[in-house]
Amino acid sequence: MESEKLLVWEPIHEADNQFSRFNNELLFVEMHYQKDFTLVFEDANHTKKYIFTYKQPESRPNAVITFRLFDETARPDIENLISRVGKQREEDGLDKLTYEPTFYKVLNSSFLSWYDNIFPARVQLQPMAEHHLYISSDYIIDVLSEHDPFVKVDVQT
Amino acid sequence: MKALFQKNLKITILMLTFALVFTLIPMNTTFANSLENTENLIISDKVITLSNEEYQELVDSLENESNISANVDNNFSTFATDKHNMLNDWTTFLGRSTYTHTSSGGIRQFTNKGNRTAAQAEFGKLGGGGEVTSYVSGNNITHVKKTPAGNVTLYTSSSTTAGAQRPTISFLKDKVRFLGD
Repeated sequence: MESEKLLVWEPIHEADNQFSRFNNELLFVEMHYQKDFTLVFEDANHTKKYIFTYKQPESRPNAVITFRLFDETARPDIENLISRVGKQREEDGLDKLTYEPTFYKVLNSSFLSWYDNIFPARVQLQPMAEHHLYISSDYIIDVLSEHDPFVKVDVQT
Repeated sequence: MKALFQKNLKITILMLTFALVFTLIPMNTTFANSLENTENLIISDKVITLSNEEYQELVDSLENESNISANVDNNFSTFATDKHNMLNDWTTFLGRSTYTHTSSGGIRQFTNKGNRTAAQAEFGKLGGGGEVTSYVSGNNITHVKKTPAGNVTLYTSSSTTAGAQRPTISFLKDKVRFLGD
């Protein structure tokens, strides 16, 4: 099996994405799960609210396959992966990053493998599953889903 | 005259008889344990005799109890001082860092211009020499120091370009990120 690696993901339009881990942190505010699965974040100045919604599919009961939430200082496994991102981008011929990403997709995900060990039928039932990673100031959130979330940016008055 | 004399004689005999009866038959119902004759008795302690070994054992156990009590008092005093010192150390350390924000969960975030070496030095100073346990995960090590005021953690966050060079020290509801290179 190929080794796990992080792919920088930009679910927020570039013009709206102000976040950089350590310098302008993403604050996790709320989580809702009733039909749709929703994650709400804010910037440190509370000027904007970023609402990530995984919609419940019409033909499926669940908006996401599963999710988990860890303290931000409890993921040495992710830190090891993050430290390799720069070099991997260089090897892949990609531009050098000018910020520290707060959103990733995880390739060859160990979290997905863990899920498949419990429920092997996932491979047939949800074959397009992806692992989305959110790195906020206090929490690291993993979401397994077959589709990307809708993102809405609300300006706070 | 004779009748009067006989009458008086009968009365006299009768009185003598009564006197004799009261003399011979006790009418006093006082018993030995009547209330008038009781008093409170204090039973003195029973005196026992100890052998030399038994005496020494008794003295030693009493001395040990006294020492334990004194040690508990001393240990509590030391604990309170150490806890106070740790809280002071933390406040001083935050004074050398820059507050950035407080998250919705109430976690206060700070940054420090020091690098990884500086973070390790600061961690070493906090709360003096407490018991430190290190947890290794791949290339990442998390250090946890036990102090009377709570655990202090030195966790290594990573940068995509600088690698494992973003240590974070956490204590209670505060986090300090070291951003120096």
